[in-house]
Amino acid sequence: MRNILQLFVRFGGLFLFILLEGISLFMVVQFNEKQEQIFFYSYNKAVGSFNDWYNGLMDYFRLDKAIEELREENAKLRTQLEAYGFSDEINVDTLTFDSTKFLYIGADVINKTILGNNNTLTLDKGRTDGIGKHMGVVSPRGVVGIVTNASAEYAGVMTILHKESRISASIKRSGYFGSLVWDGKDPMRAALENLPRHASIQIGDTIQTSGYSNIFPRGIMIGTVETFDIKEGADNYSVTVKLSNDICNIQQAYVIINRDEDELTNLETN
Amino acid sequence: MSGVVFTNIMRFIFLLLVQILILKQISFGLGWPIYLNIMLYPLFIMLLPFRIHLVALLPLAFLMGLSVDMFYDSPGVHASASVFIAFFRPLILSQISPRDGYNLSHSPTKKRMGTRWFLTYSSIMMLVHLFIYFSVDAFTFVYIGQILWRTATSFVFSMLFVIIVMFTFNPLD
Repeated sequence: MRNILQLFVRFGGLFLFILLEGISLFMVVQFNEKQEQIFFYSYNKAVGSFNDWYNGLMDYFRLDKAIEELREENAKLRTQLEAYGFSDEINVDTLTFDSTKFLYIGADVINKTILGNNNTLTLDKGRTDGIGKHMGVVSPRGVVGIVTNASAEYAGVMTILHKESRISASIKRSGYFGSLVWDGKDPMRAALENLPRHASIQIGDTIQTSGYSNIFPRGIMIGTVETFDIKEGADNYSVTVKLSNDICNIQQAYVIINRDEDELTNLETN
Repeated sequence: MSGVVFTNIMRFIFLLLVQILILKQISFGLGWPIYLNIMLYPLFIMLLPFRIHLVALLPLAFLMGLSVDMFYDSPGVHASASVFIAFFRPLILSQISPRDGYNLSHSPTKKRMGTRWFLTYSSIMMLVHLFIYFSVDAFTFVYIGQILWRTATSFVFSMLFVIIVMFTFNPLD
């Protein structure tokens, strides 16, 4: 109490000044038309610019969500693009309006192991989003891997940097194809196996998905040919492919759903 | 003590009456080419005794300003300027303090402090008062040129009246 009194003795003048000046200015604004107009004009302007600033700030914090939405949108667009000839095959089935064969589902990478020979990712989309086993996973920069298991909300992905991974890959320029495998050493390099001896290949050739596996559509980027050679008497080239996609820092991916998969599987097994 | 209080009550009433009955008519009634707002009532705030505490000085200034506002039909404008110079009065006094300081039982009058000192003191107070008054009146610094011009013209005529009053009555306290 004493302290409060001392405080008032010391700063009472200042308090009183602020109080009385506040009352005066309040009256000025309250009872004088001209000043009132100026005050509210300035007030609205200040509040407006504050709101603008605040919204700008909040937009920044909402970026995550915006990115998520954009990716959904992008997935939708890519799905539509597929219908309008994203691959360079001629769309024979012109009578079917819904001719989209591949659907793209955007997902966040929420976990990854990038250490050993068998690298996997976990995505934050699962069966409820239509994702199931044996679906391809790509990112804007190229092939990522294949879904190996899916729970209701999550999906496990075997990346192309995995001992078990074999992806049908072709040379864009000449169309010859082989299997992309990884030797477990360099995360930026993989090997193309089973490329026949008579295939035409050059350093720098683009390697893309072949479209023969029902998992990936044709033409998704995998990488470029870095070195190749063929041993005396061997049937196949040994090709080193520089991967276009850095699996180690991937954060977002699209899962590709092949809507004709069941039909094709039936056709091919029976 | 009671003499000082009585003197100041009378001064309050006298200055208020002069302000609203005479000076207000001169300011607005004659259609002069320059915008004039002659102010004499700040003299009341100037002449309060040295020893008065801010806690008493501020409400008195507020009361004076508000009373003038009632008759000028501009609630708060004179009051805010009055409270402002009242708050800065101690600072202004300390800046122009004579070498041997103030006798706290006196008031800052021409008779006590000398003509030269009093003119300095009253000029500073009047300038600040007028500047704040016209600023609050305009309520924006967009027209700062106009504010300064009005402050300058009104200052000349207000000081004229301050000098007339001080030389006519020449109060001791």
